[in-house]
Amino acid sequence: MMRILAADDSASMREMVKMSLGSAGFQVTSAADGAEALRLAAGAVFDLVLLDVNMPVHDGYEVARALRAEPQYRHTPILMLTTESSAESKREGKSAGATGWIVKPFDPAQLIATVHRVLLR
Amino acid sequence: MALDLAQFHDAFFDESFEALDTMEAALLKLNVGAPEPEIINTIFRVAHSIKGGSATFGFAEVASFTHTCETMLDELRGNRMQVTRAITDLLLKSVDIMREMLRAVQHKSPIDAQRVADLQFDLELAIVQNKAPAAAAAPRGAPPPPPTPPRRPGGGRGGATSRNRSSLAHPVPSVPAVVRTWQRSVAHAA
Repeated sequence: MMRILAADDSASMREMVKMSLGSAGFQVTSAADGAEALRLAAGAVFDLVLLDVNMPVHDGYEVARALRAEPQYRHTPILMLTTESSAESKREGKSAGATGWIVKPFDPAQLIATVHRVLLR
Repeated sequence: MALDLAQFHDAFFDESFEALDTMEAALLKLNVGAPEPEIINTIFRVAHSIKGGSATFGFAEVASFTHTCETMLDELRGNRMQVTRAITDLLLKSVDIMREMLRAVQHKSPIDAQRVADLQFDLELAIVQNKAPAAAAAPRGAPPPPPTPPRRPGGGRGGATSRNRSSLAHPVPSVPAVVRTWQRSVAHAA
């Protein structure tokens, strides 16, 4: 079973992401902020990481950069999950090491489709 | 299997009301002369998070209003706008309106759309007016910035001006667009 780490400071978003991807057969571990995401990432290996951009403690960009510095996450797909879709934020996400971008609002089917697409690359 | 998003509504309302309490406390703590960046960031995250959640869970009116708050907060955190008492007052009023809107959608009761539109308009106007000094500092030879629109006269309801305020049923137009339509409506009314 593919394992996904999903970090978002919103509890409703975490629940929605967990249930959506869970219904598609993924095993999802949730983190409520950037620091928790990094702790969880250090303690297990994930096949894909979903990061909200605006999170307390460490934002999504910082977490992506920190993960990319770790050998086990150098090639792991990282998707940024955010309401921001400006070219500037996408550039920042790219330079932080993000593989792709999911713009809120999204529905469960879009999320599952994007995750599948990225994992099958 | 399609997932029913309604099952996440309670969690969304709980976290949003809690976040609005945080936003209100942070606004009251904000030092108007020298605002602390971390406090502005905290306030921004509340608006950002409620916008994202309300858009995802289908509460378009809440998403539209919080988008305007978020735009103002982004200007404040980028130091493109000054934190003044008038701005914190507008944001505190916005907290009250967001609470009312969330309660209304939670209990499926009507929203006072006119009050929401009035405050949203005031926020949009404040964003344009407070950015004016930066526009005035444009390099020589650049076309002059458009004149700052006056405060709307009277604040009366239902007139030509209110028809052109951003409608809750539509996406929030860009701020310059709002001012242009507003100026046009004033010209027509004159």
